[in-house]
Amino acid sequence: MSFLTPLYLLAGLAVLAPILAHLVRKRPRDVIDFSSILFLEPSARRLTSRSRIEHWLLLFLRSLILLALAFAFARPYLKTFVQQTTAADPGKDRVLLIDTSASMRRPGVWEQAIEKAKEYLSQSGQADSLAVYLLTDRLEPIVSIEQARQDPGQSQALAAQALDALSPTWFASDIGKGLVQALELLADEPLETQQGQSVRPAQIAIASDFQQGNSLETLGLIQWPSDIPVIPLVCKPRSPGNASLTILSNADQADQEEQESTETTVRVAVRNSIDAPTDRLRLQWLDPSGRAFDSTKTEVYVPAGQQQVVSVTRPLELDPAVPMVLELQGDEQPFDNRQFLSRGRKVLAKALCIDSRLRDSKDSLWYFAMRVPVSQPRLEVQWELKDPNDGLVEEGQSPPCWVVASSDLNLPCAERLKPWIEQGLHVLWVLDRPLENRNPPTADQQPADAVLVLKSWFDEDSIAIFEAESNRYRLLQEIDMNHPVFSPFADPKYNNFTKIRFWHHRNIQGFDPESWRVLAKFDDGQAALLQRPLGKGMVTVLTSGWQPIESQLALSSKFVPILNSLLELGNPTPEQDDYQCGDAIPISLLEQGWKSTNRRFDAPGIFSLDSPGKTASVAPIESALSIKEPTDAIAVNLPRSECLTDPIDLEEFARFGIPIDTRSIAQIDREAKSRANPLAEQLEASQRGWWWMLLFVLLFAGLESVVTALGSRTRTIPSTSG
Amino acid sequence: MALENGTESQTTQASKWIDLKTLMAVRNLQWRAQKVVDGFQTGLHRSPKHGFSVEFSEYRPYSVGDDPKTIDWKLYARSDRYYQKRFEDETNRRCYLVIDQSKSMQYGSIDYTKYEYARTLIATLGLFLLRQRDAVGAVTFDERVTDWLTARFRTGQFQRILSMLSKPCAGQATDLIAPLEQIAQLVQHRSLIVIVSDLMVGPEALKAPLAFLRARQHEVVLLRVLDPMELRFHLEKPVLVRDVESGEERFVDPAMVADSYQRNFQKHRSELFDILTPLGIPCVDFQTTDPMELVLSNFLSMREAVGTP
Repeated sequence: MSFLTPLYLLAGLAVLAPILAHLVRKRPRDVIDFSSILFLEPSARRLTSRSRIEHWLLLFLRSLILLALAFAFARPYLKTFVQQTTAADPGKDRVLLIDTSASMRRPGVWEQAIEKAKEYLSQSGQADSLAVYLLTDRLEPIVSIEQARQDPGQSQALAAQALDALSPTWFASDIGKGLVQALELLADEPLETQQGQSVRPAQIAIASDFQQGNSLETLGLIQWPSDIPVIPLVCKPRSPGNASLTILSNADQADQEEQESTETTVRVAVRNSIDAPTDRLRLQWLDPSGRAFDSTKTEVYVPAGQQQVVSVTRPLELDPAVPMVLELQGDEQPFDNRQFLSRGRKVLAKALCIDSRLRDSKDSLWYFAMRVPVSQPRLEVQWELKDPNDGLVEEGQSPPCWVVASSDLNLPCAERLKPWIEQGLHVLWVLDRPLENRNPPTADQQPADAVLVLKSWFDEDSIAIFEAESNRYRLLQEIDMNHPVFSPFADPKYNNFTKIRFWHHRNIQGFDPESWRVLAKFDDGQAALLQRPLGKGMVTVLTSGWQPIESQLALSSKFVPILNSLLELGNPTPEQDDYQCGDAIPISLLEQGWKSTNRRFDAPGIFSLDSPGKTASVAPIESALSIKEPTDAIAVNLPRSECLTDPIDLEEFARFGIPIDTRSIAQIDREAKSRANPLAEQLEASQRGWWWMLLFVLLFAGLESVVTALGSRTRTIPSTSG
Repeated sequence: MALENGTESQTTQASKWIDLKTLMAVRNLQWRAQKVVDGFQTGLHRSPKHGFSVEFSEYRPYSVGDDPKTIDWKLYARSDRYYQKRFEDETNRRCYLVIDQSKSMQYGSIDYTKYEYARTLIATLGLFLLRQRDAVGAVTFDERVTDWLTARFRTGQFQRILSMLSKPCAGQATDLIAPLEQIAQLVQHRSLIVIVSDLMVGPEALKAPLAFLRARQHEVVLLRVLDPMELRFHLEKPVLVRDVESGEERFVDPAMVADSYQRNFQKHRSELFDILTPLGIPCVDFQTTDPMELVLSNFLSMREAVGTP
């Protein structure tokens, strides 16, 4: 006979209790009154003589009750049946997620994670398939679930081998997303047992520090299956506490001038964890190679569990564009103590407005266009008003980045624009003047200037432009919300265009629908905004003006986003200068020669855009180039979520209905050992040994009651008081 | 002594005496006393109520030195001789019946307690003595004198005694020393003092107050009332025995204490008699199962021996 939980047999020792009770119960419970104890000598409690057990049957029954209870809890089963059915063990799908995020770089955490992972691996049964994935903001397979299922024995060896070669990355971790992905992997191909009935049991273990930066919100999107437990292998750092710093961006400063004035100071948020041993910290500026600029240090006092925002003055003698490093000193966890700061230089761009009308006239396109804030942190747009008959740019100057043309655009001017368009210029052509003919022109009529301009650009003969009927206002409809111009308005909260009324508009007919893309139409079915690429550039035609005499577009709240979107179409936002580890490397940088294994920034640091042989797979600081001159550089920082190192309460998982198995490794190990015969539980359940034992308990208890009742009936206590 | 032959006499002479169990079942104390005394006197004399010999003892010729007030002048007128008229001395004797009301007296292993028995005994003695025209008083005590009735021979004295005995007793411990000292101070005239108690105190402590009483020329008689259980201590199994007076509990294994109890009891008794005999104080042990008549008879025989050390 074997036992599923043999430790409960120790409860059998409780059988000593009734034996002792039968011996010790010699102290009489009967008390009689007597006139005087003058003549009574106290009797010594002679245990030897009183150790005679009087009620053997009662003692026997009571002992049997306790023994049967202990047996029931130990859950006995007969091993002989087990041997016959061992072969039917289906094994278990085990997925081990190892957190390799930056917070795992804290001293002692990674070693613990590897140790616990190995311990977990060692508990796997022979039939268990063991998949190992690295957990950052995504899952990366070491031993994939498919591999593990194909060859369970091999998968464990592979996983054990791979563990030693692993090291933590600089990426953020997202346990919620990781768990959901792991669940999807398990659910992809549920393996069936040989009987083809039951699905193999599965289990997910996570070796992680479970820091608060992890988002669990993704877990709220799914219904977690109750039969897949999650085993947290919690790793704790050797020393508690962690302080981190975050440089707050100045980009949200509304006022341009204010933004410039704050360039000499940087606002820094310093956060201290709840279990921090120290609250006195220092901030110091370093150059990108890690050397201190000067000995100036800013003292910061941050109590445990709080955050302070301080302004740190940059070394005054340096140009604001010099990339720098701000280091937090006094914290024992160094992985998040440096913030890299690079302010790239602004790009100047020229935008032309081709219009012959007066500069201050409210009827001109210019009046409204130049008031639209199209400048961006790294792009400054300068507007210029040009007459179509004049030269568009001075000798030796670069072509404009954007052109907004009115109906004044004539053929010569269009021809001058054409080569620029073909090289990548974007032109917004606004037909903002009423045309004389209100019907499609006949063949003998002289075509309008607008038609000639289009013909010169696209060589389309069939296009006809004429004034539309203006007996009533027109509204926009059939808006292409998938196009970047209108995609910001895709949300139902913003897609109401019925307040923009167009008093006048022009009809364009006869254009090739294959080449032109109509972004919006008027409610009379005529195209309102249409686009066609030309070479590398693009021509966008608006068939009405935005001035109040033409429409309400300029006065609408949607005017600024539309114009910005149109500008961005031709002028993609210059590269950011501030990235986080794990961000995708922009294609433009890859084209410039950046090397990366996974197209992601994988280490923090400052990287010059000018230097050759750039690589994202470098250790920070040391290999970054020493830059002391203003230069174009990018700063890659640690993801902010990784700085939040306070541990998550594991109860949070329960909130999402995830069964968390918080037993210690030792307990799980014991369970693994007891699973030498994996079907023990099933056998025990089928044999129901505990059920019989419980029946015996009831039987003995009943007998005991009967015997006690009989005993108490025959016992007589002499009446003593009068 | 009743202690030696109590059980035997109870069985052999049961038909002669009133059934004690029946007697004690009657609540009326006066009735109980009257029945016992009537029965007792019926047994002693044919017609105890006839004649006047109760008052008159004898005539004696007057001799010089006798008190002239004892001369019977009526007889002198008839016979011209001086005769002294003698009366029974006992008729004028003061008698104090002292009853112990301590908690130990409340004990009883049979249908009634020691106190109940003692109460009946006191009432019986009282009635008997009053019928002999003795002045009878009564005293109740526990650790001190609780009630006092001066010895008188007058109408209603017996009722007073009964009402005193009918009061509930709330005594705790037995302390004979203080009450005896109080009695010695209160009883001015030479009297017969009958003490009914279980004497559950150390004998040594009794010596001084009893000697004091004797020194005041009082005659003292001790009637010791005991429960059959106290005489023959017997338990079936080990129990905790609680002293009703002190509340102290003592574990008692019957097999172990049976002998020692008897030894201690006899030792206490002999010590008690060693103290009482030199003082000329007779003491009789009664069981609460002994017939009242037997006690009365013993009492009368004791009176003859009173005062002889």
